[in-house]
Amino acid sequence: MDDDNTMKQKVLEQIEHQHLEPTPGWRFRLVAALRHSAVAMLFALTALGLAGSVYILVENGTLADLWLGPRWGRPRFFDFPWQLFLLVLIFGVLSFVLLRRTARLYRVARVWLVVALVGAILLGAGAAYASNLTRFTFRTGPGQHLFQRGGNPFGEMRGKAVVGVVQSRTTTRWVVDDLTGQRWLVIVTEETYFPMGSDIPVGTVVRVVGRRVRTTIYAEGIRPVTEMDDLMRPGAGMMGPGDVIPGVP
Amino acid sequence: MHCTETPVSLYHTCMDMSAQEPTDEQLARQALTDTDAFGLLVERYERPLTAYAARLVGRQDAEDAVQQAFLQAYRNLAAFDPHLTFSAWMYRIVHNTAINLARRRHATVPTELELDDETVELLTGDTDIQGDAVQNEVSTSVGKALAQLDQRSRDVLLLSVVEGRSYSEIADILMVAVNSVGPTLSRAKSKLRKLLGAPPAE
Repeated sequence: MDDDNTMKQKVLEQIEHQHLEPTPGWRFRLVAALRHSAVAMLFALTALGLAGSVYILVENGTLADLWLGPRWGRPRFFDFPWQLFLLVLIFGVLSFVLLRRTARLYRVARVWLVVALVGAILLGAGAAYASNLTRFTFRTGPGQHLFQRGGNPFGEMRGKAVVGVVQSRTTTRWVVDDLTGQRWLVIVTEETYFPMGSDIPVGTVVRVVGRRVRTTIYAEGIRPVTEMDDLMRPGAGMMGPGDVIPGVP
Repeated sequence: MHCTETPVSLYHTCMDMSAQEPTDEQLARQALTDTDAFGLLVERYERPLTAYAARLVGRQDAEDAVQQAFLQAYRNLAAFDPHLTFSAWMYRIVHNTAINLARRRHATVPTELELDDETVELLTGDTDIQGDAVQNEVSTSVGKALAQLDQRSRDVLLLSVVEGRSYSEIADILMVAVNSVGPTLSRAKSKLRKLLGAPPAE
């Protein structure tokens, strides 16, 4: 046996001595199917979770309260949810890395993965919107202010938003009742920021941010909260004492 | 060679000799039920793979790495992706096995590669440093220059320039995007030229 065949000889001997057999194909297919399903589910959950979370944060005003820009910055510039952009970027990179490491996706041009990710996020946002996730934001019920007042622990005054219905208004004084029935006097000045083109008649659900003194708010910004009017009805979307919980005897 | 002299083997019968030699992929499929077919694959790939492994982790570990890689390939034959070439699949297994073996034995992957004259010539073929220098010095300089490249660049350079693999195969072996191979190779070449003190390519 010459040198050229030594390796072949050794390999075949080892195969024989160790009784090696090729692993059946179905095992590889099963593992691959499980792995791909797990990655696909992770990807979908990431996109859905991200979109749903952002949707909730936007709807209850928390995201808008996260004012990261300087106070002299143009408000319209900071109206754009840069935080959302950052979140999408982080999750996007994570999903991207995960996908590239899976199967033969390393051969796929990066742009297609990015397109797929953006598509999944849009799909997730659509699903979140369709499932009316806003109801969840008020499920905690009266007296529990979980989502009622902004969520920004870093935003000083801007973190203390009040969501309520405009009961009456003059040029400088508005009366707003919040979800708990608390009545607020809102002082509006020339400095108060309103979103471009917003018209806020009596009865509109608004979110007010500003400096609070007892039941008075010196408003720094007021903006309408869209598509939440149905939630402001008493008991809407909340469990009452007489309600029956499905599946509970 | 006469038909009567051939051993009784499926792949060396007169019928097979008159037909085209089976491709690697055909042999890989046949090897699922026939170890002789796998033996033929070992014969075909033993030398280039051992040389490749030697460049990656040194001659000492190369043979063990390739042997382990062949056994691993045999066990995983059913997982062979028909979209890949068998060659790329084997190179990938050898690459990973060799690096894992080196890490296990020496806790690190050697960066100073053992370069033979042929490899040095291939790597310095488009530079003009060979004319003035003694071969040994060139070999040492190239080895040192390669050691300064990052792992990915070195792998791409070796697979492309020395092993002569296509971009597509390199992408499959190293599991990187096909369109990233060209730029990586280009950067690696120009860095190597710079390190060797050769003028940049036109």
